Amino acid sequence: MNDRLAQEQLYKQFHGPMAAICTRYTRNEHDAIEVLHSGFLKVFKNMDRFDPAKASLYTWIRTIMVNTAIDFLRQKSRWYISHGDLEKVETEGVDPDALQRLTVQELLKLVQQLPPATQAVFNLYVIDGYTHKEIGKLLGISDGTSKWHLSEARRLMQIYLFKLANVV
Amino acid sequence: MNNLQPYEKYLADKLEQAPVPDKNEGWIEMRKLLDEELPEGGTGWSGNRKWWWMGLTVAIIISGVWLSQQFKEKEQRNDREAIAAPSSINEKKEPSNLTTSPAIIKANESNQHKEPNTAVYPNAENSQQKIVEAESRNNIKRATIDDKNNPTPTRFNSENRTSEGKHDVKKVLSNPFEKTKAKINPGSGAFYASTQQNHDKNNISDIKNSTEATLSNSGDILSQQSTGSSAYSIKTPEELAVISNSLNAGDITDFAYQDASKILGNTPLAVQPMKAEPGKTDKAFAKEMRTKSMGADNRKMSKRSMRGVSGEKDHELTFAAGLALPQSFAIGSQQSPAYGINAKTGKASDYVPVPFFQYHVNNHMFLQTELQFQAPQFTDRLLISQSQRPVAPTNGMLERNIYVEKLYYFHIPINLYFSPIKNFYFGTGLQYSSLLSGVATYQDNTYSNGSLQNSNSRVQGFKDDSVSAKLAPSEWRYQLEANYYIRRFTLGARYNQALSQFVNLQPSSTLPLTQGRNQTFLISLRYNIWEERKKSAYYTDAW
Repeated sequence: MNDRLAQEQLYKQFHGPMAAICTRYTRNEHDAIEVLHSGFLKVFKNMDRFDPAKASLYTWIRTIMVNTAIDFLRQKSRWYISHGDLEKVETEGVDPDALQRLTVQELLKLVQQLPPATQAVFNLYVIDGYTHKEIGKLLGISDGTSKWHLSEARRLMQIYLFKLANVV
Repeated sequence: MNNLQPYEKYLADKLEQAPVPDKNEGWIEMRKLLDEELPEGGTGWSGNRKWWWMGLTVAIIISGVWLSQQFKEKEQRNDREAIAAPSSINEKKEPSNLTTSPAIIKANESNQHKEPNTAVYPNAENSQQKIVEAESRNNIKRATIDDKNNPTPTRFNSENRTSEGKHDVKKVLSNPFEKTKAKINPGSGAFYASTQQNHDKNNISDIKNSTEATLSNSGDILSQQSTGSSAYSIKTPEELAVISNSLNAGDITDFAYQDASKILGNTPLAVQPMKAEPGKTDKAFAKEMRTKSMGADNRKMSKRSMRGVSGEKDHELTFAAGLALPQSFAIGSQQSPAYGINAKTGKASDYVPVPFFQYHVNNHMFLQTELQFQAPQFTDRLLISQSQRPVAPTNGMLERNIYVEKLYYFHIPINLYFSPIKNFYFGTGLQYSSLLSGVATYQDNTYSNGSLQNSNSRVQGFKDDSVSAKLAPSEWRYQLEANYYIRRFTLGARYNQALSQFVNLQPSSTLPLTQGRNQTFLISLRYNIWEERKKSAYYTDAW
């Protein structure tokens, strides 16, 4: 399929949710657009490989976008896969009131401030619903490391929220 | 379902609603990318694959031209060999029965007082004397040279003048008696001027007819129309005797040396140098002819020697291929950063040898194309992107500027070169350039309350990403070049300028347009590794 009109329709139909995914996985809008377009390019190039029996079009495109975002993070960012000590991680609760006072942009900034690998694990686990096993396979890390990154994300989010709540 | 904390569910829901860039603007950029990577109607060649195909196409075209040239040369060589072979056979098959028998002498004596332009055949006993009106020498000469009935062009036609023609003329004139003898067919008793069907026979026919014309003009025997189709058969031994008597070796030789120039008097200039003076020896005559007729070719050789290929000057250069080492220089306000491709230190990547191919139209004109796989392009330090975003905790602002430092292109130039001065070639042409990658400086400035707090810069390569999407993916350039060509080496200086701008954008809404047009100055040293020369017909046939 290499029809511009059809491509435009597909692009505009899935632009919103896919751009949101790319924004969460990257650190700024510039990078998000780059990932988005690389992802859509893969979609258009491999459209003949899409099998409706296996997954919906949305799921297929989303998977491509997530994979493209992770590839981008690996290439462009300093991709630290820390192997922290899970025993020392303490997960504390976040004040729901402080969270609700924040706008969507501010929440997005919170996620974008996380270290790239931690940000990716947080996105994959919390928002996109991947399991630690899937995350480990996708990122080439162990389940334990994935769990550590999630805990690290929660800890950092708590710190950021605390700072933000105090500023606000 | 993963175990999520309550605030995480809220966060996930909220982030799903995160603001996204405008989809219409996004589509414009996406479409640009698609046009580059997946051209409409095309199969979507991308990256290196596209260049492989383009390179392969160029190689096939060049190979095709070269092979056709080879085939053409081979055909010409075969033609020359075919021409040379029969003439030698004729020489070997010369009949040797021109001995003057008493009967012939008798017959000759009886015909001594005939009219000059009348051939009388002494069959008086049967009252079958045939009188053939002889044409004048000029008429016959003209008929010989400009033979309209001859289906193939004669050697004395200047347009078809070849070395073989000279060769045949020389051979015949150096020993014309043998040629004349060859015309007598003792078996049938016929003295004929048969139609010469093939090319080489025509050569001999010309000389033969000329000889016949002279003989007939002297009134001794007969005249023959030089149209080739006319033939006269001698029926009786008496007729043969008369003819044989006229074919006095000394007379014919004298004719050959004295009257050849007269026979060829009306021929084009190209063959006039064959005019010989009485009493000249074979060697002297041959030398004179060779020297004079080589005039035009000598001029050609002079042009060739201008090219400095004196060692190979006997053959005309048709194809050449080799490698060039280019050295680009920054001109004007262009900067020359010490980075190679992908922002690596060291500029070794700027010196990738360039294969080139030349097709020589003639001795002072040739076409050249090159494949510059990775050519550096110096540019001004141009700001091509500026983005700003607030930094939430500090209430500051982060500004990212991207400056283009250096670009790398794939070039295919096609130039036509002309040599107005000895050893110097001036060329002009067009060049297709496609952007491969680039080097840019990414500068992050942190502002707080309007004042710069921190600034970090890093140099990084870019390729097939959002930065390269801001630049024109390809462009055409015109170029001028001056070369000094000596032997197989060429030292050249080239300047080219793009016909369109490679960048024309507004980095941000508050900044003016950034525009830039590529221009290059480079010096290159080329070496012809392989040369194909067309062997000149003149020099391949030995005198």
